[in-house]
Amino acid sequence: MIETINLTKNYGNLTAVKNLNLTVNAGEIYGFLGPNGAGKTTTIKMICGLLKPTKGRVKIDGIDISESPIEAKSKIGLIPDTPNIYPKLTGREFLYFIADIYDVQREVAVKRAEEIFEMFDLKDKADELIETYSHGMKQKIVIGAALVHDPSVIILDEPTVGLDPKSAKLVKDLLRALAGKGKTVFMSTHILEIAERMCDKVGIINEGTLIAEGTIDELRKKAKDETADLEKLFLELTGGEDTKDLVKFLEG
Amino acid sequence: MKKFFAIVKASFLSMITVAKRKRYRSVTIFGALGAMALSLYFLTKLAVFLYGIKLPANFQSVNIPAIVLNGVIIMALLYLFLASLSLTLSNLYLSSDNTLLMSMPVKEEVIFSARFVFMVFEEALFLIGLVYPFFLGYGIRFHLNVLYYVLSFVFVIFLPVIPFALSLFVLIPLAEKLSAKKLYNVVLVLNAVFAILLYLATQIANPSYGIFKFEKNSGFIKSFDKFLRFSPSNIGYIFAESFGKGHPLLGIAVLIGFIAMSLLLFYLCVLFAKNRYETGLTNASRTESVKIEYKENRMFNVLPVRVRALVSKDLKILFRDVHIKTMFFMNIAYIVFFLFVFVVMPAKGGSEQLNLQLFLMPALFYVIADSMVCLQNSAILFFADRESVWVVLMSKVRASEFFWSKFVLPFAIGESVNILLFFVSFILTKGSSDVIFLSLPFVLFLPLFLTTAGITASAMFPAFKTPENPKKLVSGKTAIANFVTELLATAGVLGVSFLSMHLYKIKGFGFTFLLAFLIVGIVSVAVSFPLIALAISKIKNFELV
Repeated sequence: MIETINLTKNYGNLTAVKNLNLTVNAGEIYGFLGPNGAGKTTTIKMICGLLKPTKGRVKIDGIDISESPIEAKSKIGLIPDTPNIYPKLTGREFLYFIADIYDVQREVAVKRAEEIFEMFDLKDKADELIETYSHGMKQKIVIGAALVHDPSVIILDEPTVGLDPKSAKLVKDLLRALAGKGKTVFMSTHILEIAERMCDKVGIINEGTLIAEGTIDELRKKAKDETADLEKLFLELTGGEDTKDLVKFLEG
Repeated sequence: MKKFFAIVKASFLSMITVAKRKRYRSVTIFGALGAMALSLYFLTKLAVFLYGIKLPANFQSVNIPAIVLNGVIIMALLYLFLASLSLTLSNLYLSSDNTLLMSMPVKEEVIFSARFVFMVFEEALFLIGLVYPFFLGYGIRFHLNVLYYVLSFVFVIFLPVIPFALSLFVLIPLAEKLSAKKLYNVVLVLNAVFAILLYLATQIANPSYGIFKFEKNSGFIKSFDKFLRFSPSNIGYIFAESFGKGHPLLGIAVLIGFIAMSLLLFYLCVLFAKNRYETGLTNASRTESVKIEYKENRMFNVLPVRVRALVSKDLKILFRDVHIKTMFFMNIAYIVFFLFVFVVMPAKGGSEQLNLQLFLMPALFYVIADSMVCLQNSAILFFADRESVWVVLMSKVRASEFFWSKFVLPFAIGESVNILLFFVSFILTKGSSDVIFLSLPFVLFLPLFLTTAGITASAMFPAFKTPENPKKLVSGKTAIANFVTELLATAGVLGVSFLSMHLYKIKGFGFTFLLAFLIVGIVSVAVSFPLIALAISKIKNFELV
């Protein structure tokens, strides 16, 4: 379970995230949406303990990440938007390294690594340096690494970017299965179709403020448009409708 | 031509905007200009002095201005040949915007020639500070006119063209067959080996260490003087000498000949690169897959699991990342130099009068060697995490574990090097071995202090805090902090050394050794522990913005 209480982050005079209150329950997939620069990645970094909030608290399975960072972090599996991982390690070395720093027994790590290589079609590349991997392959290794220590909370920042359709489908199925097992899944995405189809609940952030939250049906009700899809709701809420004039202009 | 200038301009802009913040940018530019002005001033003074040296009677046939100017040009050419290999590979083949440029409607020869011209410009800036003062000095010494100063400036600007073109005639076909990344790695290693060999050669060729004594080097000076007549660098001297002897037209003709030759080689190089450069670029962007069998590292089994995992990871990166590997092992290789200068050289004398040196030299050696191995290498190990540190920060790794993981390698290497060299200096000592034993506290405690100081500086200004400039192995602030630490360590070692020598005469070995051991030990531990606490606190509060 993830809980943020009045979470705020200021950079000088700029408020990147303002009084964010949200709760993601176990077994739930939460879609975190917002335009570029809305504060999604800052929020994710604060939830993961990579960034200290100016104000407010984050709790992971009831553990305050500021008070007990190691205990809270051991429950999280993070999949960042860019798969920056040690290019001079092989895929296998990287997964074993992750297992070691999360205290996973070597026998368990070997078994899980094999499952991950099998699942993501990386068996042939397992012993090659990560620097030779394509962006999609790196993304797969990062997803695999986030699962090695069997976390109860999985946080994903744009998880399907760079993945081929087959792998993207695999990731979606995987997240569903993980949520089915009672894991908490928090996912930021730009692909509204994914959010609409996969997420139990979505939150829309704009200029650092959570402007809407709920199931898709709840958002439709709020917008008083029972037929609206998430794209329409999103654009209405974030002011993206303004771009219509530009599109018309570009179309001539 | 428009596209050619656009590429040169873009390269120039990215050079001057190396600092991200505007105010740092102007500091960088003015700093560079100031350094150049200082270099021009002092080197010109030095040149004027050298050109005016009066030789003993039996050296009258030796032409000192020819030796000095040729010597400087030879050194510049040697540097240019060596640097051109790595520079051309990184600028022409490994530049990050190559893919973008090749996708644009720009001919490959335009990209090639623009890159070439910019490289020449960049190196010429460097040579203006180092080579031009020797032309200025020549002009001042022989009271030459303005035309000479202008034309000698042009000569220096064109100096890099020929070495660059010649090295490209070798590299272009090689890059067609081999990956430029691989070539670059080989070149870096070759450069390092060459630099070490060159240094050792100068030491071995000069066993008397009296390099500045004419009498001891008469044979060398005379044969160098003869050799210069056939050296390619002589063209620079003939040009200057023509003005000096009142034949400016000959000087102009020599310069025109030199420029024509440079342009011809540049043109031939561009022609040679046609249809070859693109193949090389394609080769450079290809990644070669090599299987590496997983091996469990048992070397660090005594360490806790997470620290062991971090150290093993750093060790793998150390051996596989060419930038880190080169810097890390270069630092260790430098120790060979210092071993020679501080340990072998003073011990050669073997006289009781050398007791002072016998003690002070190894003591200084330990400061320099440990600064290289412990201070510098701690910062380099932080660079190993520059892009991927989030993996560690997100995990169960505690700040203290991260600290100790960075401590293990530099400390272990520092102690090993010290202990090895302690025995070398002990064996070589022909004077009092008591005095050598007095350096034992430095052997044992300096790596502790310098490694903790190195990690603390890197933790305060880590490489991954400035990801916009990840090519920098050691951040500017860390480098300054390390420099201050080196000065403090040197002052401390000298202080303890002088105190020990004084007490040794009055109280004898036993008392002096005990006191030195206690002073160095207590100070090192007393300083290191707060540093460790500070570093751990900094690591604990890392934020990835």
